[in-house]
Amino acid sequence: MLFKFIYSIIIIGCSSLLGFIFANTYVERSKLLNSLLSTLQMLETEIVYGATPIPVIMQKVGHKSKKEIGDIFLSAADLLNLNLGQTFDEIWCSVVTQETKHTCFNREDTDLLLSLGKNLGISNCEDQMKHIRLIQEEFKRHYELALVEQNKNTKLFKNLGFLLGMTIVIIVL
Amino acid sequence: MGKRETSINKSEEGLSVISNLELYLCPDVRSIIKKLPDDFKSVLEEIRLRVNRPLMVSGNQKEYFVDINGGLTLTPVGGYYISKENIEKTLQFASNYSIYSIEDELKNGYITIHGGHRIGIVGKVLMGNKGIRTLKNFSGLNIRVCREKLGIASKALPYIINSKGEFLNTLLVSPPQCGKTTLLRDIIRTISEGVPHMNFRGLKVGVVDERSELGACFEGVPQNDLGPRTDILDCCPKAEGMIMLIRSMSPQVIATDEIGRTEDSIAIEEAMMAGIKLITTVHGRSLGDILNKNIIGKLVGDGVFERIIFLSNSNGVGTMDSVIDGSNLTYLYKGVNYKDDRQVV
Repeated sequence: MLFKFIYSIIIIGCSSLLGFIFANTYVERSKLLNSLLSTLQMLETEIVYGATPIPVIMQKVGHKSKKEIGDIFLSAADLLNLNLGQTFDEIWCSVVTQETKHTCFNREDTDLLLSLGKNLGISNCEDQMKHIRLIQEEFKRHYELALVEQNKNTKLFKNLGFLLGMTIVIIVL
Repeated sequence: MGKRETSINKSEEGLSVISNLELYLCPDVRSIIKKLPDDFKSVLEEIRLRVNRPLMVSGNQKEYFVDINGGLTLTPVGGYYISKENIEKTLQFASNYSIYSIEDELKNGYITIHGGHRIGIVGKVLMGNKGIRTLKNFSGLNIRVCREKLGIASKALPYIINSKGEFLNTLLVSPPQCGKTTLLRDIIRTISEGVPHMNFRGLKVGVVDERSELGACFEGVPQNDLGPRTDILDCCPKAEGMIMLIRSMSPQVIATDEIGRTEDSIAIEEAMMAGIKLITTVHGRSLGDILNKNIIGKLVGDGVFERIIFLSNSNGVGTMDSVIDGSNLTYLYKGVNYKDDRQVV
């Protein structure tokens, strides 16, 4: 009887944890998107008001951003400083593809981030500002949708995890 | 043996300059330039990229087309044709992946990169209310290799420093690409350092570097050695720069490149009144030629310049053809390549 009770606790605990992990991806994604919006704001300020070169911006912004986002910028800065003859877009593509693998960004977020690299650094300040603002607007939209999804799914997955555990316990034990 | 070692060192220095410059070229052009013969690389002066035209290089006053294997030819047949992508990529590397950071330089049509090399840019000009706004649709690049020639001033020094160890107002005259700026740069370095064997102590030199050719400043740091007592005003209009230097840095000598406007002569007068010596350059072929020019002709006629040095490339860039005493317009030196058509008028 005691063992059954312990197994039940373990099963319910594990499934609840799974539910929490799933629910947390929604929270994490919204947090990441919110942080990315601040990063893009920093990027715009450095370009428009500081005319700072891209490799320096990548270093600066990389250090100031959330780790998952910062890693993208810092890896790009390292590759840019190697001077291997790759364009910024090529470097950005490889870095974003690599570094977003283990984050909560979804496919659309990654695609939008990739599109940032296509225009960054290749035109004058005015154009750069327009490009960054456009991407910012898109990410704002993603962020708002992410918040809606978060509110909708967080509770659902948490409850679902617990209920799944209960179901297993009832059926199996 | 000594001469051979010196030439080997010079050649190695020339090669390292080019290998640093290669980093700013797009991969395709970079691989071709890498394959150029080493002896040509050490004298390479310019690399020209024009959209849909063959890659060109020049050195030793000769121009060549370059094929995909780095071979030099005198005809465009078989040359490597430059694409728009080649130019855009090269410009991306040259601007450190940040075209927006060179917006102001683009208005002037050139940028200076690390090492003091200069990249001339042409394309479509966009006009704004205050003149040229920017350049876009880039169609050609001219990469000019910057090589300091340390020590070339030594031949001119006995003429521009008098027996009392005083520096004399000097004007360097030559047609384009004959080494005026290179000689001026080395004279600045030398008078800033001092010449102990001539009993000449270093002087404070203020340089107004309107086109970034003398100091070749990159992100504010001079890439060329202009001596320990030199202050540089980079990208500053000459006349305003001279006045600023007089008021702020108390220079003993002011150096600037290519004067010729009315406001320049006003600034020179102010410098003279402040007891500051002057060294500058002007385009010209003969004394008659420069005397016919409005502003500089008047300054030479008034005896502002105590020494006028004529240069040519008859025996290599920076060959000193003749030296004139500006006070009485008599020749102090006539080189082996001196020609009679450069008569004093």
